Amino acid sequence: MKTKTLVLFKSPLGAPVKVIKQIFTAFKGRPVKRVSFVTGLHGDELEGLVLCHRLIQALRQLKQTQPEAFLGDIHIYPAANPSAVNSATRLWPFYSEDMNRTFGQGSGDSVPVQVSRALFEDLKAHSDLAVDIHSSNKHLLELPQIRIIENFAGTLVPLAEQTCADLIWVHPMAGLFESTLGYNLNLAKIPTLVIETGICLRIHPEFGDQLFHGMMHWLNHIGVLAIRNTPAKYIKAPRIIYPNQVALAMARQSGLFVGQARLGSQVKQGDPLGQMLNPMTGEVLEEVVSPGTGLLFTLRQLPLVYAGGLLARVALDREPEP
Amino acid sequence: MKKEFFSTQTPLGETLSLYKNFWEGPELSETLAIVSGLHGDRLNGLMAASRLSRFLGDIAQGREPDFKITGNIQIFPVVNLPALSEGNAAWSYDNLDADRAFPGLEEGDLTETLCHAVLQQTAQSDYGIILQTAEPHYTDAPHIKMISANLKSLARNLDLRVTREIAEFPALTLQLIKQWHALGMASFILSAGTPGVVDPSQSDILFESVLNFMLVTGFLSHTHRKGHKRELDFYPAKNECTLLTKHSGMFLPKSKVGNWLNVDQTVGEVVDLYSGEVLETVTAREAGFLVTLRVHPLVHEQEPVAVLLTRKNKRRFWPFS
Ligand SMILES: [Zn+2]
Repeated sequence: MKTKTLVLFKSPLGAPVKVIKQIFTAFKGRPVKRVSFVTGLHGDELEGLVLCHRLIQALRQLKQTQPEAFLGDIHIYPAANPSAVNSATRLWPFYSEDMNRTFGQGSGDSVPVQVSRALFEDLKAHSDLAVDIHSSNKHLLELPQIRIIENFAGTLVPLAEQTCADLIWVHPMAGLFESTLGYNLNLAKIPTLVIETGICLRIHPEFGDQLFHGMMHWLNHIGVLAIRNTPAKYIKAPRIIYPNQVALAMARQSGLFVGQARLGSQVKQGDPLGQMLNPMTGEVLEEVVSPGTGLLFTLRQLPLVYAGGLLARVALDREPEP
Repeated sequence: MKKEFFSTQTPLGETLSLYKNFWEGPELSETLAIVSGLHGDRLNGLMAASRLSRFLGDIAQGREPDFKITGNIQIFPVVNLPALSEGNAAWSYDNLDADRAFPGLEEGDLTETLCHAVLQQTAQSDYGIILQTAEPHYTDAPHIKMISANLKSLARNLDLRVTREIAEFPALTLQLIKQWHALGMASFILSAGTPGVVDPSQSDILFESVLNFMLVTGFLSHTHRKGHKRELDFYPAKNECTLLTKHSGMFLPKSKVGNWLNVDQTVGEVVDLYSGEVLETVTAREAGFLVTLRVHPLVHEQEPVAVLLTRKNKRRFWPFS
């Protein structure tokens, strides 16, 4: 393993802002493919840090015991926004900048943008495929899933099918994706899978296990590693869902949401998901029920909710009647 | 007239409402939308919007008998109300920059629904003006920003000399001005000052600018005052020159926004935080109008500390453009 520093800025107080990557090269000759894993664009999303740690640990070990298993190059960027990771904040502190809204041409010259640019150029120069790992914000808990903008579905869905995630969610393009790393890499013809898993500031070891084995399985499938040791219990075909197969439960009124359903469970339309409470009066404002029959893959964790806030998402077993 | 256009409740059951002020002109008049408070810390615009509302209210009540309201005018002083009540740029509940959340959502998180409501309320307007300041840690000389160079003639109605083209970048699509632009509205941002600070002289400039616009564009009439179209210095985005530090440390400005700087003129110094030693003098690489200057002293290496609008291919739009 080689460590490379791709960004180094001296901060006002002397400590550097440093973005590094760990490189595992092919055993011999040209790599069959070059794959990059990026995490920590949002500094409070820690599931990706654990996943990268597991990958680095396993790959280091593999380099020692079975170096010939490396048929391609693997680049791991374990903390793309180190200032935010050190502060455990979503945004780059001091600038309050969402680094995953700074990609693409003409975004300026601020320090976060300069770091984004350096990261993007490095990824472009050294990747044939990429994986960008995120967790949800502080409001929602997510099952491990791959999110794919429908414009790129043709290339990405077959790749995502080998990741052992619970879901592949193909969703429409929207303006907010235009400045993200994943969209811009895909636009630059570097197929990039965006993982969304868990919730910020917390770690779910079972999701970490699933994604770690999923990523090793995927690296094997795409021919970057020659290993066959994914435990059978982790091998699964993700459920692929399209926009009309996602049913949402939203808060009709503001209040306190107390959930009673379990993320990852199979729910039927009308099953109870929780209650909306008025903490001041003791009233139950609303019995929240499942908006459809299927897999409960998103569930609200921050109980304080404003009307219109998302409470749950269900991946429907059947497409609704038109 | 004050009118509620959005209302919801907090989780504790208190009402949270957004209001606009509006005045109607004769039938078939054009409509002007004025928005401030996209961020909870951009206060010059808030002051200017409040002064405009009082002034228009006085006209409507007959207390300014020489003036007459001759178009539809809507003023939205506050968009990100929770952020304003916290005194932060964004609301800590979602950390979402409201001017990166347009077009918003009809049903969704609160900031998104606030943005959606404001866009819906303004979408039928012919003209839009957003009152802003510089980004956090910077200050701006009063100036106009616009996406389309085609609006140069109309920008002269705003009575501010310096006009800057907004460069396209992907996240611009999430900003109100871009949404307005896409709807075909003639849209401008007026920027002056720094976040978190009210500077009466700057909010006065914003007020006078909008007042002149309303007079010249036909939203107000006056018995003898006509307003005037001003000579305009238009700076295309490619003419902007950003000055970066070489060293990290404390940046101490040695110039002021609004100054014209010659080549090599000093903009500021970077000093070492611990020793006070001068590490670097930041100078103008090119001659230009100092439109933006760093006010927070702590800087990284390669930190932008000033923006100059330079005169390469500069074009002046006066009197026929
Ligand atoms: Zn993220």
